[in-house]
Amino acid sequence: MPKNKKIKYSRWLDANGPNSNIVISSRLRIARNLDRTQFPSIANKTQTQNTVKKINNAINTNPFFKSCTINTINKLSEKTKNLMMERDIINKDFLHGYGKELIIAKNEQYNILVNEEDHIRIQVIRSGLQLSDIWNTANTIDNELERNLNFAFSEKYGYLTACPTNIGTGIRASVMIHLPALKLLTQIGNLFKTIQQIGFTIRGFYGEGTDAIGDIYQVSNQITLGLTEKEIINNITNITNQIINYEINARKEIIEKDTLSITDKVWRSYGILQYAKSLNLIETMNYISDLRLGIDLDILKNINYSMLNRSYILIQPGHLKSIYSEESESNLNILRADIIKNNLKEVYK
Amino acid sequence: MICEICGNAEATIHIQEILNTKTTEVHLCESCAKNKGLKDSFDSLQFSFVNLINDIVNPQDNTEEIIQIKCSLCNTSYNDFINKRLFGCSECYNSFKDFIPSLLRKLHSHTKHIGKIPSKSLSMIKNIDRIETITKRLKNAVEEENYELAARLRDEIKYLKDKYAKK
Repeated sequence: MPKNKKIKYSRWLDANGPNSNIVISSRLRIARNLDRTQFPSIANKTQTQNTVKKINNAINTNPFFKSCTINTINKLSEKTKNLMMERDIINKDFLHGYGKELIIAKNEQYNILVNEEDHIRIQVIRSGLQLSDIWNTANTIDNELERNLNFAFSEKYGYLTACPTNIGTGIRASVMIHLPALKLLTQIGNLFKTIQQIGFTIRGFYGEGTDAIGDIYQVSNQITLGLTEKEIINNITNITNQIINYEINARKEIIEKDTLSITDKVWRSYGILQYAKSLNLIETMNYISDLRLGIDLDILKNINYSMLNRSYILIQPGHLKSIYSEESESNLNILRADIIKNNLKEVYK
Repeated sequence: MICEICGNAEATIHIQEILNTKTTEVHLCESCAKNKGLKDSFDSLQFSFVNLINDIVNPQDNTEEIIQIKCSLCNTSYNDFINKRLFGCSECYNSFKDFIPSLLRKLHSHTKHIGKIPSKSLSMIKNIDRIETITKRLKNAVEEENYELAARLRDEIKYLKDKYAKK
């Protein structure tokens, strides 16, 4: 393993937020657009240039944003873009095209995407379940941006967005949540039904539908119009708390009904991660899921969530290549096994 | 079961939407599903479904007229919107105002925003109300042939519009 390759991690991986044994992160996204200006999907070069100019001006002339750095996506290397995708800061639709910017605040407290599907998308991600705090931060950022920009807004429909699924409040609140016990008890299908019936969406964070790699799911609000922002935040917080309770009860049931079985499962997964010479991405995510559960059930000691959260990032292809300076795809599984072994070892010192 | 769109082929794709407590079902054949843009990802599915609902549940009598509409600012057409599921600019919400409310009701179960209002818009909204009220009075004044009053009201409207436009 290359010595001391320094990697800066986003703060939210530190797992110090509330309920971070089950809720990995909370995130809030606010969509805003400039008034009477072509949305990104149809804007021509001149219009895009104008939009970028106005937004950059709003950032540069406001002391609130003085610690922000503006990154033009076109000028970033493929490598950097890949790393950002793996860290879930941008998605693949944002990689190409003119006029796309990523504005990052100091310590990655928040970031602002310029010219994604909407002109402006404010994103705040924090560890654990803390959507109310996140809303306060995001709201302030919105107010500060508004000082020097005219947002598209209609009294009837609220903030106007490119896609009508975001109209009104323009906010998408979501939580990234780890549900290994509900999965073991085959309760995920029921959970999906319950959540979808009350106007929220749930999906596997990695992977499709109920098939969630690493037992990680994302719950988000579907409705953005006709509710106040606080109502939306409250609703998703309440639902998440309910899901947390379901998961806690499921974990209790598992450890009480068959302690040997779960203990064995966790230790086997730990053993494989410690000794395998080659690990593919999916199986590694699933082993990490077992370790997360193992920490909460007190089966594993001297290992913490933040280490595992960071592992999710480290084991991805772009990060492996960056750390080991390797170009060859075929070695990735070997590199992955190496980095996991070394990371777990660190903790046990 | 027969496809609900073409009425010919066997329906092999069945979609059920549950919004609050209301359940709606749609049954289609593969080629109609493809035509409606049904893709694999969840997001596209959600919106294609809206298209289906619009066609089946609320058949538009004046479809011809709607197809002709283009946004006054960005020239986005109804078809552009249906294909991309994206509007072109803020003005689209005015240009397509005939079908916006039913679209929003299907997506959000609500049609009116009750959340945050940008602080700049607070005064705009008051201004718009005032302009509307004065416009009504202007109309009445013209009907009553009170042209002096009408002229004054027209000046006031112009003043308010200029004031708002400058902001």
